[in-house]
Amino acid sequence: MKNLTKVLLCIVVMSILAATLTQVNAAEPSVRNVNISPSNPTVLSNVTFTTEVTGEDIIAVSLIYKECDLNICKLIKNTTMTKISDGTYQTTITLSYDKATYMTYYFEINSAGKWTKTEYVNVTLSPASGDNNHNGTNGNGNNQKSPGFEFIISMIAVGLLTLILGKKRFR
Amino acid sequence: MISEIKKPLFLFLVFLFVFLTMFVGCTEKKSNAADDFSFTTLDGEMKHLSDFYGKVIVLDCMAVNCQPCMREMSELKKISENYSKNDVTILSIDVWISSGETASMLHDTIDAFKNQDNMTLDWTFGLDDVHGTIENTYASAGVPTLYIFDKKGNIYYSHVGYEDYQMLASKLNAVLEKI
Repeated sequence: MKNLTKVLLCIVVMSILAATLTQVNAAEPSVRNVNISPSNPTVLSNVTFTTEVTGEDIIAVSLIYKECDLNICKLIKNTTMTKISDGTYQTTITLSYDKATYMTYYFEINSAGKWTKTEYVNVTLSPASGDNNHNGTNGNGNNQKSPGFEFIISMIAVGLLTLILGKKRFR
Repeated sequence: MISEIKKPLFLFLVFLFVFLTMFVGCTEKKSNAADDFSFTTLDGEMKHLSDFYGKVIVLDCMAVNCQPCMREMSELKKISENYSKNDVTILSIDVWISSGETASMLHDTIDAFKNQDNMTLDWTFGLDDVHGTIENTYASAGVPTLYIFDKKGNIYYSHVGYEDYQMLASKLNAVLEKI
């Protein structure tokens, strides 16, 4: 009889512990099996992110990313992922910074109204194929000090002037 | 003959003048009054850019987990060490609050400098609002974006991306001499 009471007490305690642990797991959603396609993305390309999300009452999953090089990080973007099957979410993004050398991303998961962030992950970006590392500066958004358009326009103006003067001289 | 040449020559000069005026000095804005803005310091205090008028202001629009911004911190540290706080004040504002960055993340970044590099970042840090007001006005092209305001609050210099100490110091010296 005494042993039976002990066993029952053990069962109750174990049940409470198990229930508590389950609740903690439910409160903390997580991502796993993140798949990036292509696995070595290039700049200005489309990249598809597919991930499994575990947790209860998942309302939404977002991918937040930015594109950086050594000197600048370009606009952070927030994309809502589409649920493609039970617990699997997917989104395709288009990279937009041509000089980026890496991108940083993380996921935000809305679980029962509460947002949870995952750790930042860096992904190295390869230069676009056929990119010969152009150093031209026309319209360069980052290094605005380099001359570009004004030189070309000046050359066109000089050319036009030469044509006009040349025509008039031969009349 | 001379009058025939004069007209196109005049047109050419006007043309050249207009385009050179348009393109030379794209980055160095010498007398543009800045749009005032408010931000929240890490102590939770609401401040305005105009609160710092009277000193030359270096505005560093930055974000956390941004390697170029972290590189910029080292350059700003040199500014902080080499210029009197009576002359120059540095404001580093996290402008990606609208994208989910938080005060605790900014705290962690400052602590990381302290722990890894033994570097105390002893200037004002703040946070943009959740609507990205400062981001949209001052840093829509990316981070870091730097501004130097003269003592009257006019934008003297701006630069998108990392900028080294030498360039910042030369601009600061020039704006300090101006007044």
